[in-house]
Amino acid sequence: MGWLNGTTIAMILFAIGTTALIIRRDLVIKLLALGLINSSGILFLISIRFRPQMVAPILPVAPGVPIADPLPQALVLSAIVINFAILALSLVFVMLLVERYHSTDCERIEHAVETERETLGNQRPLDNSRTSQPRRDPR
Amino acid sequence: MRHPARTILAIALSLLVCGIVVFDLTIPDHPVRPDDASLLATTTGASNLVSAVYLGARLYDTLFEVLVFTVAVIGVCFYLSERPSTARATSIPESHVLQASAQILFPLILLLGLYLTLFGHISPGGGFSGGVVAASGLLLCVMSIGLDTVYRRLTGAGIERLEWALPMMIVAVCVLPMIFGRPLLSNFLPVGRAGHVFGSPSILLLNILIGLKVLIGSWMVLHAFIRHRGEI
Repeated sequence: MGWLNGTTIAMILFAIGTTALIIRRDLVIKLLALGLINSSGILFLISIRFRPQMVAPILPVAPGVPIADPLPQALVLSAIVINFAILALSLVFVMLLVERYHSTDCERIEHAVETERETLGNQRPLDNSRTSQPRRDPR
Repeated sequence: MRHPARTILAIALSLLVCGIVVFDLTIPDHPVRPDDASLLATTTGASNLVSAVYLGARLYDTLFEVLVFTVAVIGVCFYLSERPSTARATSIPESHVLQASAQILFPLILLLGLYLTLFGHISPGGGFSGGVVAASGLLLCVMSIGLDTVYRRLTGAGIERLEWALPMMIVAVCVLPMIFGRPLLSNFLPVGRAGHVFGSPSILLLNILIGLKVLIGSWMVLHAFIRHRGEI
């Protein structure tokens, strides 16, 4: 089982995430698949420069013990924060779409947008102001 | 399967990625040399080399990472502020277990977040993880005493005004070395002994600023998502 290390597991996770991202039609499942792809990227970056006998890059270490490379671990920190930012923003957009079209199915949403465009003859199908006035926060 | 082309594309893409496994990615072992590690630690004063990299040598990355986080918080608050707000937001007053445990756990979680932030350059941790830990403590508080109470107390402390000031302060800390004749994005405060808490004051300062920024940003995202849940 020498081939079953962090790198290969990361690739398998990436494949599962990509398949789910393309095949599944639910927008929330798509976001979960995006999170899985991001996690696989994090696992890949961590595991390419880490071997089981290495120690974490925090000094002092005993002489003769190999130290893991701190650079991929510093890059992973950016990846985690940007994953959080992407997920939060796209959840908001999914929320807006669900409020307007009452579905998380991306094909139904596309169909609804097309019918709306045909009936309204409107160049801006996502313009909320024509159908419902946005209510202000009462605070 | 209603879309055979899409399915075939997905499976082909997945097999392509898994196919790299067959060729057994050979990445050479290059452990960090001890001389390089001790040089990095003595020049930045941080014995946690990951902190030394992302707050010392590659501060440029971290600056833009903070800006990405700020833009995401602005986007979430902007798009959700147009939504109708739910009148009575979450609290679970029936659960005495949650209330009793939150009173004990909340100070401990805040203390853990503070420890991770302040000691991020000599032990595992840092501003990002410490801020997220403290924000999870705030979420526990919201679940026990209600969103409105927590929001009123934090607004009294002017926490949201601080949110917009903190990115400016982080940018100022990154630009300040130019005034002292040092290169941009370098540590301008004097470097002490590596492994000491005040061994690298500018990394400590950046960790504190980033920890506060992540705490307040996560709190604002949580508050926006709980307050404006929308209607279906």
